[in-house]
Amino acid sequence: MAVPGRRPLPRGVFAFDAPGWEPPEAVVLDTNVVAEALLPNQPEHIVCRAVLRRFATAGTAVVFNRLLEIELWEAVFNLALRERHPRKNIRHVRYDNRVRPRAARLLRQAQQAWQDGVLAPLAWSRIEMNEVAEDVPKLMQDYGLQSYDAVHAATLLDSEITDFITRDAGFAALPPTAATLHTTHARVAGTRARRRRSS
Amino acid sequence: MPAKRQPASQRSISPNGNAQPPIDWRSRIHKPTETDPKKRAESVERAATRIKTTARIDTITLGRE
Repeated sequence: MAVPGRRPLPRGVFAFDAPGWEPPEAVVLDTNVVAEALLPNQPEHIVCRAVLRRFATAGTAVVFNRLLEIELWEAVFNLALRERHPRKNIRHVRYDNRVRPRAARLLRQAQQAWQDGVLAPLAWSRIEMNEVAEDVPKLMQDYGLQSYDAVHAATLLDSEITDFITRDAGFAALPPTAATLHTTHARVAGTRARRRRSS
Repeated sequence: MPAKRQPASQRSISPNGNAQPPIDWRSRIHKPTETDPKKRAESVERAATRIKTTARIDTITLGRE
């Protein structure tokens, strides 16, 4: 049944798992989409895996900051901590050395999955952190972004790419003219609402 | 290794408001070695099953929550 009323304004926010979505010619990729795609137990694993597959088949140019890889290793290390300490705060068990053999195995799997499985079939370009670091303070100041997020945002703006693939609604603070956000269907409404409040 | 960009003091402001010229990501793009799009898609599929774990984390906060 059709829902009455006007359709919501897109506000430069789209769902990459929506029917009819087409991958742009070039995108900047955020860490959380890759982590979700590579970890089969994650709630948005299937749609994130599918969007990477679309990029591979469409020949989309995928640009990312080196920070993505560093953050991916962090996520995987934290996964090992979470396995051993399912109910504890990760910060309190960070230096439990019993976790490290398991973390090492997961890190090896993640490095292989990323390099051989994801990067190999993509057209990709890596931006180093030092190339964008200078712009980070201004992005933090202008949009309230966290420093790590500002690195990804600077990568987007300095590459003059406008399409950003992310699950983090925090990037809605960036103006729609500079950043078209592609997220999951489940996150579109929240991301648009944040963008409305930011404008 | 990408070339170091000019110091901010030596750059001009571009019309889009950026203080620096855009990063030339196109010149260093790595092209996929596999030409068959179907095989490229299969590679992503295989990668997505390589990490074996039953745990879950919030991948936005990188599990730091």
